[in-house]
Amino acid sequence: MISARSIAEPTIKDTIIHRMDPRAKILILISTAFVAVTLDKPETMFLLFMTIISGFALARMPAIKLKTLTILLILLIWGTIYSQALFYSQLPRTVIFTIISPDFPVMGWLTNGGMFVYAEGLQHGAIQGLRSASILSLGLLMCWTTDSRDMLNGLVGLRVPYSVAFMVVTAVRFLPIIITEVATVITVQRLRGFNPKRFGSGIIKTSLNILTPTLSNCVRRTGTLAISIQSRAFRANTERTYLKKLKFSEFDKVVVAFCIFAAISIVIIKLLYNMYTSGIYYTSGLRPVYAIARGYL
Amino acid sequence: MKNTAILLLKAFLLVLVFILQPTAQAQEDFEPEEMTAFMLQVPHGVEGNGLAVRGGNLSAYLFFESYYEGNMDVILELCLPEGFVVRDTPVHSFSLQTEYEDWYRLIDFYIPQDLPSGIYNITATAVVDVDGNQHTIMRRTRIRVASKEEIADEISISGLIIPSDEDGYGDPSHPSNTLVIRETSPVLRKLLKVTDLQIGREELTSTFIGVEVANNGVSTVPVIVTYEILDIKTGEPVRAFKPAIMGMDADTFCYAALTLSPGSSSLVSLPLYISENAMGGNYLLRVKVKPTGSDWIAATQSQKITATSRKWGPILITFISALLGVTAVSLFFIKSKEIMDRFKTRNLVLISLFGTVSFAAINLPMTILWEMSHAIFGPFSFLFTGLFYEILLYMLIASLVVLIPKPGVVSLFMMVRFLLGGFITGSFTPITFITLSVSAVILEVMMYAAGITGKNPDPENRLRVGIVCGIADMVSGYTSFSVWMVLYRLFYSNWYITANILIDGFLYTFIGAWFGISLGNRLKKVAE
Amino acid sequence: MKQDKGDTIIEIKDLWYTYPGRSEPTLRGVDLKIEEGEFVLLTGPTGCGKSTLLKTLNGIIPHESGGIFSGGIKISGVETADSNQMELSRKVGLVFQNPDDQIFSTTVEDEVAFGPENLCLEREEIDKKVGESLRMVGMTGHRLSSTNALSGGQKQRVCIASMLAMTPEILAMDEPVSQMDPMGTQEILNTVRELNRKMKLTILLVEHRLHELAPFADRVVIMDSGKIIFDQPASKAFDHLEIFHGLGLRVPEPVELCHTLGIKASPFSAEETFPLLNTGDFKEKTRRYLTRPDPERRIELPEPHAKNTGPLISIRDLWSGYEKDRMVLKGINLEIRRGERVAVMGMNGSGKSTLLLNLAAMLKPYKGNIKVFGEDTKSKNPYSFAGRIGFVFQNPDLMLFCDSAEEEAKFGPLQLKFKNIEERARISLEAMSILNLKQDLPQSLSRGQRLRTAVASVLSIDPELILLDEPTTGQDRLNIEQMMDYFKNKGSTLVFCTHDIEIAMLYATRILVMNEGQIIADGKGRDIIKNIDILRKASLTQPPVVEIANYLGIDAFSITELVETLIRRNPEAISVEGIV
Repeated sequence: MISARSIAEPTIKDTIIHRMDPRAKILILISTAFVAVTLDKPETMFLLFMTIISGFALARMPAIKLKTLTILLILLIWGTIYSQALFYSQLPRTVIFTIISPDFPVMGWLTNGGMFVYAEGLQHGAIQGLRSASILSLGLLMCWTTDSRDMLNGLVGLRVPYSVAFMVVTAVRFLPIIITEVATVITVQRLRGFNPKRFGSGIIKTSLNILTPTLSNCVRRTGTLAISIQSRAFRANTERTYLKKLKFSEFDKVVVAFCIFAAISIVIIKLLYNMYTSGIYYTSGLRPVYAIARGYL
Repeated sequence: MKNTAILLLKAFLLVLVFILQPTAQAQEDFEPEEMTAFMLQVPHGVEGNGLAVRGGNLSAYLFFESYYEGNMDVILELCLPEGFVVRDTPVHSFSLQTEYEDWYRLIDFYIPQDLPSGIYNITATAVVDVDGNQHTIMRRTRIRVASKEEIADEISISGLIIPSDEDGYGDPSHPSNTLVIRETSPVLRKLLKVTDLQIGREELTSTFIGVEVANNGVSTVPVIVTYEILDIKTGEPVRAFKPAIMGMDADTFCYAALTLSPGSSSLVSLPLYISENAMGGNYLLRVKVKPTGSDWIAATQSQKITATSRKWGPILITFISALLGVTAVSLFFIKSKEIMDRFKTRNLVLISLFGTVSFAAINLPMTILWEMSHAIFGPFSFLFTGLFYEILLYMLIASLVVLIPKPGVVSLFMMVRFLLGGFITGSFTPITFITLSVSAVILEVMMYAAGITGKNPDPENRLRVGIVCGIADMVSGYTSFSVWMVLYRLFYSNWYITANILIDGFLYTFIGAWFGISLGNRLKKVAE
Repeated sequence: MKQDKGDTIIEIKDLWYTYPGRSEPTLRGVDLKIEEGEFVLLTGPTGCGKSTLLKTLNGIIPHESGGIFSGGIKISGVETADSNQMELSRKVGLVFQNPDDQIFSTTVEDEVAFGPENLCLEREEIDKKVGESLRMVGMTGHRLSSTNALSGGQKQRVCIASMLAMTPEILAMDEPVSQMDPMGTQEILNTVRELNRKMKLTILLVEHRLHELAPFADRVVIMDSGKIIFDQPASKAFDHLEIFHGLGLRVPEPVELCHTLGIKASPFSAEETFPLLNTGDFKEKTRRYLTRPDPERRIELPEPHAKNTGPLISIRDLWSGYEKDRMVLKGINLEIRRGERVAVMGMNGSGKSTLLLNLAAMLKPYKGNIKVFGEDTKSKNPYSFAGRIGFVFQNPDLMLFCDSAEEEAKFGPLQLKFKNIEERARISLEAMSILNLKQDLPQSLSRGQRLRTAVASVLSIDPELILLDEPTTGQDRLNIEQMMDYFKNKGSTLVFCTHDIEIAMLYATRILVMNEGQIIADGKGRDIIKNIDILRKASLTQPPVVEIANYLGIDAFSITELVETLIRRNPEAISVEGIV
């Protein structure tokens, strides 16, 4: 359906989104994540989601990526809808289907009174699914428009220790190699008559069978790689210099400033509003703030 | 007709008594109006101009008090108009011995459906015998008997304030038409008590409903105000809002009786109790006003209300774990040099390759598989996906710990996983951050404490590693559910969460870690 | 060939080293002096300690490894034991066998800049160093490329460049070409030669493919059992062939030929050999050869006909690939009969592996069809052929997952519910001569043993068709030959990809040459090898012996054959005038 590659690989283009500083993208993503978990108003959540989706148009994403995105989003939202249809615990709720009736032996007791599909849960799931959908879409947009190396420079730029960045780079670099290796390992076993799809205890065997060769190879590779890296003076100094210099463009600055400001404002407004609704703190001076929160957020 | 004859006779006798009285009074210095208090209320609570609905059961209230220092015997008789059906004996006799001694009685009567509307007079006569001298005191009141239609026009609910304060006034510090269900776990409650952070009340959260009832008529109306909270769709009352308190039905507390004078309105407050198992959502609050003594609802008003569930447990867990994550990461950033120096380059490379393998063998297939199985099996997919996810992941973690039994190794592994996930699939999400950091911190601490990592590490004890991993995963599993519930506003049943953290969190993890040790031992031989 | 020699740059005195946890020392009193600007080829059988010696040069041993270390190594006069890693890493650059195990960055630029960055150089300087190093290895145009997108040879050149960026005085290389295809090997060797000649870089290269590398070296040093047993200038190194033969080291074919023919010379290439064959001495020597005993290896002519049954594999107009718009295989037509041993040759990316995967039904045709055992693979998955097709992958390590070699061999038969599992395992382990290792953990065996275990795991199933994906890469020749001999003797139907034309000539009944997803040649080895155009398209070169045979107008494909033919002819007739 969709390959690992279509998820993992960035597309290299020259659009306004591609040109953004990776640090800016990371900061925007973090701000957006805050906003996404703060909002409650379905309309606003949908607006946020659509804004993010429009980023894909701006970045002129190829069809394969859009297809991948669509499939992932559908699966994600459907997953939320499914679980919420079953676990919806607000009233009113309308049972449209009984999965486990409350007087079903054992299961009825286990599930503490049966299990039903609630119509309102479907709707709730669809709305709440927008949260994860927004974060996922923006994350993918970021990954698909940024070379992993730039992203790493971005992290180092955001004060992530170099050793950690180094580990991540190594992990990223070996990803395609290890994916191929895992695929080979599975193929080898299938050809030797092993069916890794078998359920139950087979899973443990399969897991071990997949991990043993793959990890042995990694352990073996580690020795050489470590020597090669060490022989290039890795961690020989406490400091190090960098060839690449990241540059925040004016546009980046404006966008980041806006996003961070918006995120902080929204979070604070919602926090105040929630304190008000929970009866923790209220002051009449904040009534306009409460009104904004109630009406739009 | 017979009744009328008796009445006339009684009246005649009374007149006789009056005529004979003054001489005796003067003699003994007893003044009945001064030295007694005599009160008649029909219905109870209404002094004059009462209102009764046809078919209602009412009570007349008789009260007698002595201000006289000596003994007095009283014969008291209530006289109801014709057609009223007395349910009780209308004549009572009693004696009052000292000053301030009193007597009262409620006398029930019934107003038949077919009684004509109109104003009826009611009298009560007390014959007081003081030292053999008899004095008669009389009280008279009027009651209007009306049809339901007539009353319904006169009584209305002019205001409904929810939540309100104890006096029924609206409180601007609380959003209107909103209830907050504060759900607190017993543990948390205890904790709050100890730390003096009173967030919820002891047993049941409660608030008040303010109801303003107006009487536009000319009669004084005693009414009972009650309410119900209904399922907005089915119209069924929701028990969670009328919990039994100390074994008593909430209906016994949740009402207000008041008397409305003509042309007035009055504000009452009704207590509202919310039991812990109340669900959030939209409800219908229905307030009912009944004339006292009648089951008939004279006025009703409905109001859509929203109940918001505030589960403090998950909120607190989310907050604490987010704080823990941020603290751990900040600590790492500050101390990164010291921490990283404990690892050889070889170790770092191996950890990152393990991170890659975990990503290639778990995350990537899972991105699709997870969602697919979620789409098919729904919430039960954890039984299936957990087999892969937990077993593979903890095989990796356990074998990595066998290879590098140093504190910090799990954190680095988790960090690589988190960043890799962020780089490849953009999953820099709050949930992954919180879950991974919590599980890293717990694993590190527990592994160090259990001697699995550290100075004289013993990473090959399957049972110990299995249990440590199992517990850590249970905690991080519970945390992630809390985060889903709080930050993503999703619902999960308690049984589901329990099943999930027991099976996925403990069982699968334990199995994974158990076999991970053998895997680690095998890899150790490769490394040699 | 000789450089202007300067001062002694490496001085090793009585060096002993024992790895932690081992009882036997790996290095046993090594003494070696290398002058500045020298190109030294260090060789020896597997496990002789040559790789260990390299690691002592930049201080990884003993600084990082632990273990017992004695003796001294001076790099430009500085004792490594007293120096720190940082200092040493600036002096000695290390390059290893598999470039994939050395590159950790995602882009070429980052990889090369890594060293200078760690040395805290200024940004401008790093930039300059990256540019220079890439230029030196001819990779300037790939500065921003993704490391994963490079070919093996390019990757290895990036590895070299990333060492050069640290401006080392010595480049120590551990079998840098053993995993390369012929084109990659050529790229690397040319690069190294340039570095040595133009930049005067001291090169210490460890390699057992002596015959390919000898032409580049100034000196040949041979190690055995942790000691240096031979140290001669390259021009004189092959005067004593018995040492090389004794250690199982292959010498350049022209040298072998001349020695067989009794010509006292050690030419490294065909061109250098031609004048030697022109001398009058030659006739004399060939006559004497007649009396010499038959050399140990006899080339057998491939069986002219495969078994006369219907085709085992039949492919019609096969189009296949991983993405719709980029087909890897473009219209393949092929029939393979039972008993045939088909070598598939061609450059990386020509579609060899894709073809193999299609045969195993792991990939499905986009267009056309494949019939294996008469069954169309379109409706099949790899399980359907489990037990009937055996697949040995390039990296045998990925095939080993059991707790012992024996379990590994039993795994397939168990899964397929075969009978006599014990016997099958024993036979296959014995065939690969690892029966004595049957209780050992497969992953902890040596590289050659791991390959043999992987092969045994396939053999125990006794598949009708065996597919080998570049089994020769990075393996000792001995292991390869043992495996191929077994298949040959058993009469297995075999399809294998290889870059090694000699192995193909020796073992294939038929060679397919692929280029850009098409089969450009299909025939017997002897016909293919004569077609220089075809070989060039597959980035293959004629073995020197074939070149020499061609030069002499003889139809011969190995030294033995060439010599035999020479003898069979009337020696008088061999006059160069007559041939030219």
